[in-house]
Amino acid sequence: MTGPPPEDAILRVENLETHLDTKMGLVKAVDGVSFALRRGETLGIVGESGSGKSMTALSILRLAPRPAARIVGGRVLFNGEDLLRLGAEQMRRVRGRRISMVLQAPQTSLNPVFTVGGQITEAIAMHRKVARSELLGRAVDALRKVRVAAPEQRVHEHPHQMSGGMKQRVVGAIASSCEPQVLIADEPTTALDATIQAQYLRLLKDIQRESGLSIIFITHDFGIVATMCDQVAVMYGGRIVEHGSVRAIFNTPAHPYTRALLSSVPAVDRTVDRLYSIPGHPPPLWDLPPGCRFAARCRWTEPRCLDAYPPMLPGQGAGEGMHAASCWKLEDAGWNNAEC
Amino acid sequence: METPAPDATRRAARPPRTRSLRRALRRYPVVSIFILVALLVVPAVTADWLAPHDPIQGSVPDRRQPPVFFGGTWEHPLGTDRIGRDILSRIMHGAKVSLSISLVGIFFGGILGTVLGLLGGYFRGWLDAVIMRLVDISLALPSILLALVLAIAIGPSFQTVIYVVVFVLWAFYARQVRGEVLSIRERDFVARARVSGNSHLRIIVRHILPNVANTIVVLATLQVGSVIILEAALSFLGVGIPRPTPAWGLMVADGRQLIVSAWWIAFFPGLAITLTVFALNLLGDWVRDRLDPKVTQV
Repeated sequence: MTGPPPEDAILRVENLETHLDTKMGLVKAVDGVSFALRRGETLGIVGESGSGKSMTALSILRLAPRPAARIVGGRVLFNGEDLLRLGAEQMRRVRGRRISMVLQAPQTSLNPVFTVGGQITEAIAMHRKVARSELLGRAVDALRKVRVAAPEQRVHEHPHQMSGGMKQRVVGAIASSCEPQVLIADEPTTALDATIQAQYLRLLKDIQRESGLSIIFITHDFGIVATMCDQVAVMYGGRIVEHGSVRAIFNTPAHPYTRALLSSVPAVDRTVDRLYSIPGHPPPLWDLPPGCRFAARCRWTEPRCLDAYPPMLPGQGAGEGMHAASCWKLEDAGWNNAEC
Repeated sequence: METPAPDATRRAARPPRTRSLRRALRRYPVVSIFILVALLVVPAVTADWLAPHDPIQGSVPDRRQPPVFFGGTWEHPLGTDRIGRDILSRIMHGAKVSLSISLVGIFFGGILGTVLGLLGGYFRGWLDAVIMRLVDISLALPSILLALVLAIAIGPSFQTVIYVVVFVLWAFYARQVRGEVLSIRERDFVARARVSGNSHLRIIVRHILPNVANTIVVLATLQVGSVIILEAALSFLGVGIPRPTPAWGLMVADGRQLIVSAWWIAFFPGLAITLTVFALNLLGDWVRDRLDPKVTQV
């Protein structure tokens, strides 16, 4: 893959493999995922439920639910250091301080029995040496940074006194309180209405501009990807099937799955009778075919697709930055102009 | 905890007015608190100074005196027992025993059960399996039988009763706390705490324990009554508090043979047990209504 050179990548994931023991058998939830993230850059990971997005994120922090999940291979290089080799205590100090994470339902991510301020100061006190007397001030600053109105009063409030969007910004304040270098946001806006969502995304962008934060944004909303991300990785069945700059993915999507995903996004300027949907279901992860995992749902399936898994091949669009996809069709000339 | 907005929902969830006495007593804890203070706390604390007579040394000439309105005198308001000990004084000292046994027993039993319940519920796996099997064993063993064995093995004493109480109680806490932890550990704020770098110990103590605190308080309040009954039963059987220390159960046992000729010897300590436990149960119900989210939602 045409990733950035290692020296300017802050986080570099190489061939990450996480296996899950389930009743159905072994599931390769993350099956050889690689990507690199530079300082101040945003990577969007897109895919449907069960494609391994969240498991990839949790594996980076080594928080995949044990004992069911095991990281069996690969490297997670953070500033050149392999996180998979760190001791439990060292790893704990990475979480929240260097790599932070915002979870799928920020509204319920706050402990109902403590004040908001208490929860922010806890995060700060855990990772930084700050005098007790200064902690409250730090919490107020953190709230101000995420644009909570009247932070001096709000620090003393309990989560149930706040609105959903407000709670979410508090979660953001906790996640960014220790000035991490990487923020993993796992569908942080799924449960919010559109206005609040836009506000929150703008806030993330601003924090990123000020602090040079790198963001991994997990979502299935291509609209968010377009506004937030620099590069996009599309996941299907535990693997990245297409990876490239935002422009490349939107202008010249190469993988049939990406194309299908993009056609199922409703457009404001077009009237359609019926929104496109991809036929069929994702393959069962405990019983994967040897060939392309999307073959069963793909319009262009050929014998070679069923026989062997396609390698990552460079995209055919010109001058739109890094772009690769794992589809045999990319070996054919003129695939990009094929009608989708 | 999806605690419903404090007052509005709680009020709406309840029927407007009920005339039942139990409801009234439950809603206003004043009555039960009054009974408790008058019968248990004040006597227990002040027995050493206020009890009119020595609880252990009786005077044989004054034996089997009836209570004051049944032919007795104000010298012994509740009468005297078969060796002339003042029953009022003995009930006051007995309150001390009942109160201290329930407080100490519930304290240690509660701590033991809570710790094991937190560990089992949080870590699950084999540790949880072992703890829960111990809980099953503990709940299956009849406490009286266990007390008999312990009393024979190490002799009946205050400590023996405490051991029995702890042994009986811890399992209730462990089971209840584990059940709640199982659901709390799946909540998002626990995941968030983990993601921001908390250790397991810190998550258990700082994030989960405060969320089960209500349950523990409710359980403890509801259990004081049963511990007093348990202690009385053990003492009644002679494997609890050893003679001549005054304990309510023991006093009932002593008055048993004379129940026809001198009913007051067994009656008043029995009344003390009944009223105290009744008041404690009412108070426990009230605390549960106040604190337990599951009950308020029903």
